[in-house]
Amino acid sequence: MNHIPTSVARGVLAGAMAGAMALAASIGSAFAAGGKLVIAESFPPTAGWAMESDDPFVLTRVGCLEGLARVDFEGQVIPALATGWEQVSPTEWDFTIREGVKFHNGEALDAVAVAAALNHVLGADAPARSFSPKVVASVAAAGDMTVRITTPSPSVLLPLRLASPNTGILAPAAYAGEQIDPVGTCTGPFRIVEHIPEQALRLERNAEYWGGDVRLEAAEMRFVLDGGVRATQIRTGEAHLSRVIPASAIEALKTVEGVNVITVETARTNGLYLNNARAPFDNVNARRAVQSAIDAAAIAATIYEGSAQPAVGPFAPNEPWAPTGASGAAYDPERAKRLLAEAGIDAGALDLTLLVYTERAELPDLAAVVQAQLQQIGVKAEIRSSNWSGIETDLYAGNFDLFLMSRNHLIDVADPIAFLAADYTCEGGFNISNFCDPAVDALVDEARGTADPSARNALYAQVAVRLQDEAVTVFLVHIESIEAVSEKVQGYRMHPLAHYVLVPELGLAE
Amino acid sequence: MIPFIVRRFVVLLLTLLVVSVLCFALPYLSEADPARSILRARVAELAIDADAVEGLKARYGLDRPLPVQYASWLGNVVRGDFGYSFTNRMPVGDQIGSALRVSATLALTALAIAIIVAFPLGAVAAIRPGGRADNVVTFITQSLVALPEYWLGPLAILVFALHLGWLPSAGWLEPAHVVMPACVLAFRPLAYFTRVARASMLDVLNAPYMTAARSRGLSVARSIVAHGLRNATPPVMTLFGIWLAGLIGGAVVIEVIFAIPGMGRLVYNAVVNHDIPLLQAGVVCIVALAVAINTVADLLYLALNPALRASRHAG
Amino acid sequence: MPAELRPPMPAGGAAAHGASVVRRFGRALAAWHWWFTLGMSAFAVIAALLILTPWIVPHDPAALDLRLRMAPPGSEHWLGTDHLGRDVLSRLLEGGRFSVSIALMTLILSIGIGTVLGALSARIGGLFDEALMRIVDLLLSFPEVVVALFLIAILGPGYGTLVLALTITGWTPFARVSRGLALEVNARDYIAAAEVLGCRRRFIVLRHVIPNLVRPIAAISFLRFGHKLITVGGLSFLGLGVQPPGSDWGAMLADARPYMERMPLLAIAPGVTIFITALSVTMIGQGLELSVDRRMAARAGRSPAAGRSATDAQAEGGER
Repeated sequence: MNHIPTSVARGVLAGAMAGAMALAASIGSAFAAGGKLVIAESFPPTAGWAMESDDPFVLTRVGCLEGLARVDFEGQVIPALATGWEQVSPTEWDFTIREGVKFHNGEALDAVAVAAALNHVLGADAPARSFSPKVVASVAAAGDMTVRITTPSPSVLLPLRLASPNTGILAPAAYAGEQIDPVGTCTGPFRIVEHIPEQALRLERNAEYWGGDVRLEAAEMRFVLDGGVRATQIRTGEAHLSRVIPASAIEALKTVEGVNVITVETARTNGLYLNNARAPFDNVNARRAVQSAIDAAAIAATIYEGSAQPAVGPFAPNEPWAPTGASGAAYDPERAKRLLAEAGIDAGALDLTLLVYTERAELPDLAAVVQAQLQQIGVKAEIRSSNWSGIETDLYAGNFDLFLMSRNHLIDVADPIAFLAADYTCEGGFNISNFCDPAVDALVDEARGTADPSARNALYAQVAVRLQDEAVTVFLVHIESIEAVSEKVQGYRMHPLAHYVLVPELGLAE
Repeated sequence: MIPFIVRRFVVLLLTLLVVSVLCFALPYLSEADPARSILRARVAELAIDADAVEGLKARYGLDRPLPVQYASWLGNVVRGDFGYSFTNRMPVGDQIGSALRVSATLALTALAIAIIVAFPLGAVAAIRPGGRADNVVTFITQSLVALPEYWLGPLAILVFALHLGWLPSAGWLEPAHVVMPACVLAFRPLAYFTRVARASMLDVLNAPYMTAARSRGLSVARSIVAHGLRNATPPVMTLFGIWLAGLIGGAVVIEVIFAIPGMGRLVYNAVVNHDIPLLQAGVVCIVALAVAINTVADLLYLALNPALRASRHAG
Repeated sequence: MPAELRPPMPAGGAAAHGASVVRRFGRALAAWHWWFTLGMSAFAVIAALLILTPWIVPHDPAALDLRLRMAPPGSEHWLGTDHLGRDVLSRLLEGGRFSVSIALMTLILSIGIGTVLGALSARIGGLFDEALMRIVDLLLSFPEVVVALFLIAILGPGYGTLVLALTITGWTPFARVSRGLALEVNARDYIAAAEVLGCRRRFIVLRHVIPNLVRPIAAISFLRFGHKLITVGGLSFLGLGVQPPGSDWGAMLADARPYMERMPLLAIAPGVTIFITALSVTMIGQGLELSVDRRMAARAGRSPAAGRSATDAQAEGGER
């Protein structure tokens, strides 16, 4: 895929000179995006559109892929390609498929196509967390327009699973080759015209969209890995919408006319994970001392330029499962010193290891701040930073005292149960903290069988309170997602889970 | 000359074989578990399911002994099949093909700019060696060598994309995207080309027969165009070859800064994601390219300089 | 060794007294091209600062103060503070030790390995020579960044990895020079003459070979140093060189990128430092060449015009 004239490849010098001249001639043309909406996106598809990977998130964002259900902009699960669903037995659900939906290639959507699509993702080598054989036993067409999904044990979360982009439905033709082919096989408001790997996805309106009129004629999603460049492109007019803006760029963007900076809370909390199984942090007072020693407010205001909130626990205050009225630990170095003394710990004798991974750019900076603030209470911590692979072994082996991690707590579906079970139950698969508390295990188990969302959320809140009280993890900041949008863009809203960007209502003023 | 070429090709093949073993085996010395790396590259999630890791190992044959993996890999490579990338599951061959084209375009444009500027600069410097113009040119070339491209690149984006709005900031979608990175990339070769052009022009301009010709009325400008350029072209073209091999794959920083999907970024991403098949194939291709360009340059050099043939034979 | 064959003592060598030393120094300085003098002074200052860093560093380079983020230059922080409120000057000094020491270490290793391998190659000849020269050819056009990336993928980033990577690609020009010279030494008549005259090999090597080796090796070293420095910085810029909380100039530039407009000094300071350091060393090299040319020209009674031959320059030009 090469979109530069490659005449140069033929004749060495002459060709190159001609190329340079052609380029020179094209300077001065406008680079503004023109008639189509251009989005600068941070996450390029990296797994050949494998449905069990994160690539389907790109497809839902561009308005191509749809599933049986979807999470709306308020965070509620609503019908999409299914018109409704019913739990016909504790382990069986029937989904009624919407009539009259056509894939972009003209084929009609029916139960057989849906079952085939879902079985494909179920059979992946490395299944998606949201839809794996562990949580789904079988999918089968139970009629022309009815699909029956069976779960291995009674499950209350199934509709949420079918709102995940991983369970999007593509036409049978998409699964024919070695790789998934989303061109012409989606049902959404936009069809893919061209995919330029690692560079862009070009889209046009699906005039026959089942959901009604689509305002935009064409759109282009460009994959720009560098956050600073995405921020630059909204300023130069190369993009109308830049996703995932780094906090460091907010200041500059706020002064730009015709550009709005908008934010939405994410399900991501950055925390300082403590090794609860090893001295000194097997002692709750030592853990609480760290809680008091870290100035989360200052971190939020500086490193995040005010785009993050000081953490009140694992969940941000506005989330439905956050305990009401929770507040973070106050910054109080004196109290921290006192707590250490009470615990009988000689702060000066400690020599702690602080692990940090470098994939998330702000974490090494955060580590430096944590190190400096621990120094304030007389605790010495040595930073060891590396990419994730470099620290993984030590992490699982428990060879650390402190570990900085940016953690998403909606890891499979729009419900924190998988996160709590993995990270904070005794047998959890990602129990980095080596934390084990029968009370927490019992709460998580109870939540698993609770069908009523509000009752379930109350249980999650109880776990959150316990984690914060016991200072299992020193939660630092709740991350907000920042986007920059040109004023020309009409009808844009940020989706809480970043599932949707290009929607039928979106328009572009000329 | 024929035995020389034959020997050269045998050596070339041997080199590639050795390099392929190195490229294949060495990445497995790394501590990182490839299956885990693949999963992480695919899913932006830190907690990894142990079953998924096992599933992937079986899928990609990573549970087989290393020599077996090498044999099957080499067998496929000989047939032109580099396999599939761990992370994006695209055929590695396709990815490398498109990355090579991108990098070749970028490198050739940069080197063309370098040559176009280097000859006049070298000529100006050669007219009066040690003179003011010569000093200025030398100073410029030295400065260009000392300028880090990771400083110049972001600066250029700031000035030409953001403040002046003349050029797009980054990406590789339209011809204008090549201008800024190519110019930044051209600086260092430009400096070296200029030095070589100057030196070879001096060689001829100071030759006794040139002094004689000038005393008979040949103008300086004329002598530069007629003799200086001709004398400077072969060494500069040799350098061009060396730089071409180096810039295809070696322009990592520029390709990362300007979001260019070339060989440098491919290898960089392969390293960051532990995408072993991509890394292996990428490095093998860059080596092969370096060897090939080198051989061609050597042969050309021999063809252009008959006098050298005899001595090369002997040595 | 018979006394009459000993080399003549340099005139006035041991007996020189103070005044003449000063005069000689002055004359020596004047004999150098001003580029050499300028480059040498600049590099001497930089080297001195970096060597003395542990004693003169104004602040702890890792100490941060979030209330003092991006403070403008002032009496407390001469170059201001970075985005975490760390002293920029202190970080520049600290970071320079990383980059410059890697560049120097690599050069020394490259010179050692390259000269020995080159000389061996010339002496052994045959298949060994052929193989070595093909490797040299290959590495000459092989991008060193790719070697570095490859090694980083295997060994992980770190000081040792960088030195290893840059040495693997760095020894080749030295091998070429020393091989060429070794071949020449074997062939040159004056060596044979000296041998006939009964000179010991060691004397020949000291008197003829080494001096002939020094000049091209110095020329390549000075040119390559800047390039090594920039490559180290580039890898750190990509996050593959120095690992946080450590610092080097490339990493500082990467950190500064988001703040280039808010506080340009954050990007200017490390950029200018790399530039000046690399330039000063290149200038030493160039100045040295010009000085030698001038002296040789004076001796030969021709104009210093010709400068260095095209092939010399070309050999260097290939050293990316």
